[in-house]
Formats: sequence, C-alpha cells, structure tokens
Amino acid sequence: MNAFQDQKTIKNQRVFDRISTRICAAALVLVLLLAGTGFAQRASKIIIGGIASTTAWLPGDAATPLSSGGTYPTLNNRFILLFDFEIDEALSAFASLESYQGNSPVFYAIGLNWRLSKSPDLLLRAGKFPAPFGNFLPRRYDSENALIGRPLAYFYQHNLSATVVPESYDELLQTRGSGSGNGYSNTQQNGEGMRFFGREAYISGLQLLGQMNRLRYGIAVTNGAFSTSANTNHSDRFNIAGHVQYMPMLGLQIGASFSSGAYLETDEASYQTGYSYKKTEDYRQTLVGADLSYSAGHLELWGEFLRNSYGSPYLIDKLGTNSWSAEAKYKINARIYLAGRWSTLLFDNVPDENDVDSDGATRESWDYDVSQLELGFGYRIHRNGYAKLTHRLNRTHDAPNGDPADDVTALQLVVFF
Amino acid sequence: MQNTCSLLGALLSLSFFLPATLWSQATGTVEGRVALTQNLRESSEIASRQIIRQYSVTSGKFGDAINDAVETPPAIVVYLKSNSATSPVAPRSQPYVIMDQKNERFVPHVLAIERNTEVRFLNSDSIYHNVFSLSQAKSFDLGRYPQGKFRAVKFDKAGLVKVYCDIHTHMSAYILVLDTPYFAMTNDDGTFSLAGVPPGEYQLFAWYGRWQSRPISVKINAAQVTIAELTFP
Repeated sequence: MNAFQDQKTIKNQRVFDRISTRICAAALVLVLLLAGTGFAQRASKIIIGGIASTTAWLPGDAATPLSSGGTYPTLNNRFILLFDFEIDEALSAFASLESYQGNSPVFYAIGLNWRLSKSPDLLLRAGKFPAPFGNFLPRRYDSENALIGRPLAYFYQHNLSATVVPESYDELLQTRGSGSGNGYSNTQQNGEGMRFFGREAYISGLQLLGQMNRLRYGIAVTNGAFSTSANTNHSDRFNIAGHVQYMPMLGLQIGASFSSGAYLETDEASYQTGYSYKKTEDYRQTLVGADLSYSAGHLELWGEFLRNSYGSPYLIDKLGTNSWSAEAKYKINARIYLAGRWSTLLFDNVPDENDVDSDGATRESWDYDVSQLELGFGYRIHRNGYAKLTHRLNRTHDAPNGDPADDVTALQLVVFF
Repeated sequence: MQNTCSLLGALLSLSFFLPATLWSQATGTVEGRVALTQNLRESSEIASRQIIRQYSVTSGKFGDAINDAVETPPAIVVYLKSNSATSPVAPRSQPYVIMDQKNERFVPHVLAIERNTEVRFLNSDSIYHNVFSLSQAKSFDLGRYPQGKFRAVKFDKAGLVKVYCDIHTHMSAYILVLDTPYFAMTNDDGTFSLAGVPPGEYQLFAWYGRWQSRPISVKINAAQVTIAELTFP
C-alpha cells in the first residue's frame, strides 16, 4: 500500500472550507440584519426548529464496521438547530447548525433560496445543502427516522479510501471489513474507509428544485462527491446529482436518482499510476438509485435500490456495490408504532489471484457483504418527543471466523420543536 | 281515508314542533360582547418539520403560499355552567360537526362541542394529513386519507383536546368538549348570543386556547334577554 497524501493540499482545502463557511455565515447574518432593518418590502418571517436526541447503544462483543463492540453501553448526543428566514416572497435564507457529542456546532447547511417561479414551481438554491438523492436523506433526522439506525448504504464505512489508494486487488482485499477502524485487519487503512454518503452528503453548489403536476425534481451542481464531503469540499471538483420523483397517486412516490463526481482527496493520482494524462477527477464515484414509497391509513412503506461504483487508479475493474433496503412503519395508536427495516450491501467480485484469504476462490467481493435487520418500536411521549427502542441483527458474510457477534440494541430519546 | 291521513300528519307535525316552541317560550337569552385586552394570535412559527420539508429534495419550499391566509379575529368560546345541579337540558341539535383540513389549516381553529358529539375530520386538501391528539380527554390517530374523505371521532369525555397534524407541524386546533349544551362562538366583533337557556343562575365563561376569563354570574329569565360583558383574557 502506498500511503501518499498531499497534506498541504488537504490543509489548504480545509482552510478554504472554513473561510467559505464563515463567508456564508456572514452573508446570512447580513441578510438577517438587512431584513430586520426594514430592507425587506414586506413582513419577514423566521422559522426556527430544533432536534435534540440522545442514544444509548448496547453493542455485542465484536467490533466490526456494523458495531463499535465492547461490553459497556455508549451514549451519543446530537443537537440540531434549523433556521429558515423568509426575506421576501422570492428570497429566503436557510441554515442548519449541528453539534455532535457536545462539540462546537458546525454549519451543515447554509445558503439562500430564490423562488424563480410559482407556477410552475421553480426554486434555485445556492450554498451548502443536503444532496438531492433517494428517499432516506429527507428523513434522516432522528425526529423523522422511524428507527434509530440507517439503511446500510447510509452509514457503512467500506474499505476503499479517498486518501490511501490501493495499488492492487490484493491490497484492497486484505483490508476487507476494516474501513471503519473496527474490524478484521490491522493494516494502515484501518479507519480510512469511506461512506457512500459522507456527513449526510451535504455539498456546496447550486441546486434547482421544481415541480410540474405530479413530477418533482431536484438537480444540483456541486463541488464534492457524496463520499468525500465528510472532510472536504473541493473547490475545483465537479459533481452532478439529481433526483426525480413521480407521484401517480396520492401516497405513492416513485423516484430515481443519479450522482457522479470525483472522490479522491489527493491530486497525485497521475504520478502514482504513471498515466500522466489521467487526472484525479477522472476517478469518479457514480451512484444510480431507484426509490419507492407508499403510505395510507396508519401504514408507511419505503424501498430503495442503489448502485454505486468507484474508479480507482491502479485497478482495472470499477468497484461496484449493490444495495437494497425495505422499511415499514405501522402506527398502532396515537402513541405507539412498530417499525422494521431490512437492508443489504453486496460488493462486486474482483480478482483474487493470490488467494488472500486462502479459500481457493479466484474472485472475491472487494469488501465483505453485509446485511441488517432492525426491528423496534416508538412511543410518542409528547407531541414533540419520541422514545425508541430497537434491535439490529447484523450479518457479515464470508468474514474470517464466521459471522461476528455484533448485534446492537439501542434506546433513543428525541425531542423536536 | 285521505282526510284521516292528513289529520294524522297534522297531529304528528304539531307534536314535533309544539315542544320546541314551548321550550323557546320557557327559556331566555344571554347576549353580550367579549372585550380583548391583548392580541390572542397563536404563533406557529416554530416547526422543525416544516423546515425539514423545505430542505427535502423533492418537496422544496413549495406550497407555502397556501398558508398565507388572511388572519381573522379569534373566535372565542363562551359557555354557561348552571349553578343548579339539575337544570333542564335543551334538545341536542347537532349529532355531528365537521372540522375541515383546508389549505394546511384546521377549520375552524377552535371548536366547542357538547360531550358525546361526533366530530368528522374532513380532508379538503389534495395532500395527505394525519390528524392526531394525545390529550387526556381524547387520544386518537386517524392516519392518512385522501381528499374528500373524513374520519369520525366521538368525544365522550369533557375537557380540552389539542389536535395536530403529524405531517404538518404548523397545523393545530382546539376542541373544547363541554358538559353543557349552552355555548357559542363569538363573532368577528366579539359579540355573542346564547339562546334557549332555561331560567336560572349561571356562571358565564369565555375561553380561547390557553386563555380563560374569570367567570361572571348571570341570571336568565324566561323570554328575556340578559346582557353580559366579559373582559378577556
């Protein structure tokens, strides 16, 4: 494994991110002040929302990408403040400020909405915003999520890295199950793996949202692929993402999504591979998705399929993954609901010419296939508060020494306003 | 034969209308006005779900215009409680009432009903709503149903029922379930009229949301109009 990192470039990038975030924050404050001093032509309206949650995790013994493992329960706290400031009929500012485990709050989203047209509905959004993709991201908040966990595609940290590029299939295969730092290998790649959607896939750029009769759509041009937006927001990258949704009848929504962008965090890919004509931007993360949701009475159903692939400088095959998830929520009465979600991640096979796991197979999945069933119920304590209790059955296929004991029980309290 | 039928019909009609007529002659009316000392507008500008919907890729910030309804003065509930434990009760006139969901609002915002009245929650919007309440007087969740349909709830316990929409956080309404049939809503100018009240001593209340007036004593006389003024809140 050649662990090259252009630390200077990454450092500069992070400085740029901090500066751009501060510029956005200053712009928001300026907009608020202008509106507050009568600049706006009509009465302005500010909407403030908040979500606070605390989650107790009771993991199984084994530490894997699906569980931190250990004997003792862990506690996670998250606090989110949401702002929407309507400056006039056409213009509004938005922001989402999030704090995790008591750390300094971070602007996950900040920007401006400009309504171009009311009929047909057309809205232009500029700034940092959640990615237009699929049907889980819009309900990722703890107040909207019927369960405590997420579909595997939205939190699993696989073994491919944005900074440590595998030079061969052997190197990649040796790090299977180690992307999160919890797991099966002690190589230097531990903890360097990516999520398919890093930090909720908040990305900076421009987004166009529209609606025509039963068709809704959102298309975004941004500066970061979904995987790499956790730590960086490359100013020189180009990513395109979009979601279109068709509603044939009330309660039924059929959607399709697409995203493609450069995901590597280093600019040295061309030197390493020897292909000087190849740039880092040529190695892309491409996502294609289909989603379905239905609701009627006390029942809500969601389903999603994702096809993800990465180009990697030293590897001939693209590294593909298929993901499915299906979820249901049923309200028994005003206070109690039941929910369940099944999801799976299946990694494409790549050549295993040197039989790294000594099982005789000449092709192996580039990370371990995983599946998960999460079952639980929620209790509505208050109009603006839930208690949830869930249990996750985690399965890792073909892992060394069999399926690890990494099931997780979790209890969550969430309040929102 | 035809004459006999006509006679029977006339007698039946008479038997139907006579008690009501006699009742109205034996009852009195209380009229008056509720004076407001401050703006009672209820704010719903705090709503995380509303913003989340705006962030949502496919919902955008659409549909907000329908919330810009013209504000009207609050309709305040005025009701009477008898000082006597065994006061006569007027015939119930409404077996059910309708609370509509229109332009992402509950209409009316405040509803007063007598105990054991059925409320039909109609959906007049082209989108889903999900009416629910966690109040002690009545807890229910009606789920999602399409435009033009309704779900009914019978309120068999007196008290305040706060009603919400599980999908649209900015939607809320109050249902005041009363143990008395003598109640009315104020008009836009704050005036009210309560007719058909049996003579006797009563306490007159005014109520709106979290505000409640101090009761005043009124005496109702048969076939007379009693004038009452309430300052509120």
